Amino acid sequence: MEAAQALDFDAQLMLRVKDGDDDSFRLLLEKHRLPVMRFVYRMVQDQSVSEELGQEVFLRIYRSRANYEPAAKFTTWMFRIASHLALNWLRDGRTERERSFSLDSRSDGEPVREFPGTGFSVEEEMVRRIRLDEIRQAIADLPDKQRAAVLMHKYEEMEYSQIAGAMACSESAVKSLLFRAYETLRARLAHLAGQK
Amino acid sequence: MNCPYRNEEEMDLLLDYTAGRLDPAGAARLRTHAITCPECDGFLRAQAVVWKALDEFTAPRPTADFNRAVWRKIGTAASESWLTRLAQICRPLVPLTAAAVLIAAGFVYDHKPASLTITVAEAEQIQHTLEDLQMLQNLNVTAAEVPEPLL
Amino acid sequence: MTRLSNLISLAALAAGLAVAQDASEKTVPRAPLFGGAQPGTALVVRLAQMTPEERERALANLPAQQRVRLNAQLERFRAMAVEDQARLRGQAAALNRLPPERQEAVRQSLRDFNVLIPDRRRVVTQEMRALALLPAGERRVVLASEEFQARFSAPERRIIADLAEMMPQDSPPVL
Repeated sequence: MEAAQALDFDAQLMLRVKDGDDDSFRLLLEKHRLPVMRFVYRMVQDQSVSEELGQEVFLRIYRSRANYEPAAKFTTWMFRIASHLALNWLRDGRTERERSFSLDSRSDGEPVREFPGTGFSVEEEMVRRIRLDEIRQAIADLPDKQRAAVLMHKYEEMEYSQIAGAMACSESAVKSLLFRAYETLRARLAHLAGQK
Repeated sequence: MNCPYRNEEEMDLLLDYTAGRLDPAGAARLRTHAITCPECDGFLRAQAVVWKALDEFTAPRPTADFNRAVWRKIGTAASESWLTRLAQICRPLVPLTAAAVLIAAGFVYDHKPASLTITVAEAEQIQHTLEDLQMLQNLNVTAAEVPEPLL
Repeated sequence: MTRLSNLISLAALAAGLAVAQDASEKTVPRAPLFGGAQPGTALVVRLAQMTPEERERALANLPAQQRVRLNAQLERFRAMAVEDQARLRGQAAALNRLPPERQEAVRQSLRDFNVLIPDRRRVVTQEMRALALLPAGERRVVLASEEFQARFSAPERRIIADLAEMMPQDSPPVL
């Protein structure tokens, strides 16, 4: 019972927001802005856009307060909004972004930079950066829904049922998305085994 | 135990093991099984590489202005919904409303206020952007001075 | 009576809309979510397009020194040709799309570039222009070549590698 109450703390806060308590919304914002930003950033891989989308998530939460019913965990609902916004952004903006010129695609000719105090030599830093670019690209290349499922599973440590709630699909569909996504990532990133 | 690699129903055990979400007894059973199962062993090793690699992909923290921007948007949305409510009230007076909107729009356009007010935090953002633009412009100016590269 | 009531409604509505317009103008406009422009860049463009009086009002809450500095920089931006402004906005957007640590690396290289002596700046720029035309794989080969390493110092090599793709294109990018 205690566990259930603890789980529902965010929902209780949201119910207070529904009753007009903006301080409770401040608490929710403070508590959840980091996971929301992390998720959205890894989805869109653009800091300015993720900041904008993250703010939009909280705006929508606030605007939905009057109709809020704690049918699911608050975080499940929150990630449902976040994934909906991120997926829409990816869908709607893809063509436009492909047209615009970007630095994101470059990685192979990455510069070598010394980072005083980081303990990395120039070569180590170059290897680290290329490796990170490969990882980012492998995630970016996943189909959007697979990417969303992986990010919620890996980084937000959400249960299959929560991910299913956030993505409005069944648990078995989530598992299927995850298996396919991780299968792709295992193939893409296998060569990183043994590297530092 | 059933081989999770060959049993679709139990395949999530392999993901859960790598994610550290199996209870100790379940994890021990899977480890024991993997010793004699090359498929599960291979899966777990490859998945561990992915898991470790994904740890390197960090995300930035929200900017200091994040909360304020959310409240600002809430304020803007509130004023928009006020207009929406007004429009609902005026719905029975549609023709009159249309005429009024035209007149008001004309008036507002004619007296368009430039009442954007920049806060100190926004000024810093603008300052940084202008510095970026200036540095990029220096680059562009030099680029215009050098001859076109030969293809 | 009906006419009078209609007139009152009309006046109230017009006043309401004008007030609402004024209220929404008082908030900083949302950066376009799907347009790719960065909030800072959008504000710079908007401020640069204002008349001096409008800008004065927009910057009224800032300390005098900061106001003067911003005004001077905005004037420089405003004085540029439209295509130069568009090119810069595209480059700034590309810079802002990078992960934070990469953005800082590029900014540092831009600063380093600006303190090169003019001759070396031109040589480095020429190399960057040439590299910008190469596909990533070929660029990597050039950057790793002994000839390249012999021609440029380590700081110059970093600048070239960081900035090659920031080089202006022949035509301004579509924003």
